[in-house]
Amino acid sequence: MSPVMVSQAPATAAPRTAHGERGVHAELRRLEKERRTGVLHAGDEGAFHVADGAVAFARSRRATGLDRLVVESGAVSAEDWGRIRLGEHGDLRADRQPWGTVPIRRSQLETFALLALFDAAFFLLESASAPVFEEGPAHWLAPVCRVTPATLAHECERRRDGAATPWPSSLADRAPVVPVTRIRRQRVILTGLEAELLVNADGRRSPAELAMDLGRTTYGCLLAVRSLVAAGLVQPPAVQPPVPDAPDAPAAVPAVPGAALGGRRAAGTAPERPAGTDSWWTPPDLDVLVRLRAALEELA
Amino acid sequence: MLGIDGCLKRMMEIPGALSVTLVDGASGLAVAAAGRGDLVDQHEDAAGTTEVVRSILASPALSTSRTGDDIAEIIVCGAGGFHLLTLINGTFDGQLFVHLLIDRDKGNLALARIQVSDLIGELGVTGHG
Repeated sequence: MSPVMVSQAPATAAPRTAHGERGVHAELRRLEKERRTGVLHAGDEGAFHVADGAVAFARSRRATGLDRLVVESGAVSAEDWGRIRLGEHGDLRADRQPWGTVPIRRSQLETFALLALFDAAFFLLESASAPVFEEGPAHWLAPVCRVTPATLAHECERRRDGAATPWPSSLADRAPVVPVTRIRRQRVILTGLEAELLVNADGRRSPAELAMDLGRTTYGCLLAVRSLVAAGLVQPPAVQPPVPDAPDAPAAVPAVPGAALGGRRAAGTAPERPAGTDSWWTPPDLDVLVRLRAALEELA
Repeated sequence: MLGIDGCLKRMMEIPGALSVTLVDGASGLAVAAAGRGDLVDQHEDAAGTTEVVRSILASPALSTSRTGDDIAEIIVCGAGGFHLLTLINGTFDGQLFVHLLIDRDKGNLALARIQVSDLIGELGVTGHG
């Protein structure tokens, strides 16, 4: 994989950290220093595969997997991909290995592997769960894909939500994409991906689900959905973002009387294990959110 | 079989080539880069060029025909060099493109355009090798 991405990563950019990223990212840095090989689990959200300290692969339950990306793109058939996965074409290591029998171009595999890796890493580095490392054999993609933790952190930092994003990444898998019923424009221009999302949006699936079904990267679809919202073609998410899990984030929640939260997440549960995996994955209760907003407005 | 880096290295052999970045336009990710990164690093490069590609794709004034031809290349000419953005259509997740910066004195835009298109073929767009 690209020596540029490995070697030129600005080391200084590394540990700017929102809360929650610190755990996973710091652990990746430690594994890099010790040149370990194995799997770093981030709760039930997914895992990084580390080979010799470099990140070779990542999967997240919120991001479209490599399998879907490759097969849906039409680059290889599902059967061929299965054979590649099973290692029937032998070890992918070394450029000397005759690539001729492998039914995908090396550059294509590298590209897909990188797209999938950064897509998953974006969601994994936000994870608040405590990472657990498990020593093990290197991932089969390790010969073609290696990224340093610093590069990952740098890219994920760039992808982080801006101040007034119309569709925060925390809602990527929570709010359904609902097309508007009336378009108040004479003419509309869409990119291919935006059109794909719009014709497939059924008012039930979230951007992440659409991405998986279409075999597109989740972050790419999230960006496309944002521009659809900005263009007035998709309704803004009806769900409020989950309560921020970072203690340094605007501390709106503790100000709200516990009663207003229906006792589901009492005020001030934030510290220590902020929005632990369980509550983080609880589907948002619309009713509670509406009452929460009402309570906040009263306070304001 | 060329990997991505092999391909970018070949692009750097194009006369006058100063830097080259392979960008995923769907996410703004710098997939790979080669050459000098002293003006902007590859990540800034990817994010900035992605904005350009997006706004051109969204612009009715710049679509070449009423049927909406796919944009193939975007060229920016400065006093000292050319920026060549070549969009890759094919079996990839969407919107990959190559950003090649060419020195104006040492390079030749027409030649670079041909060579980049050829090398993009090597990246795996025209069937499997």
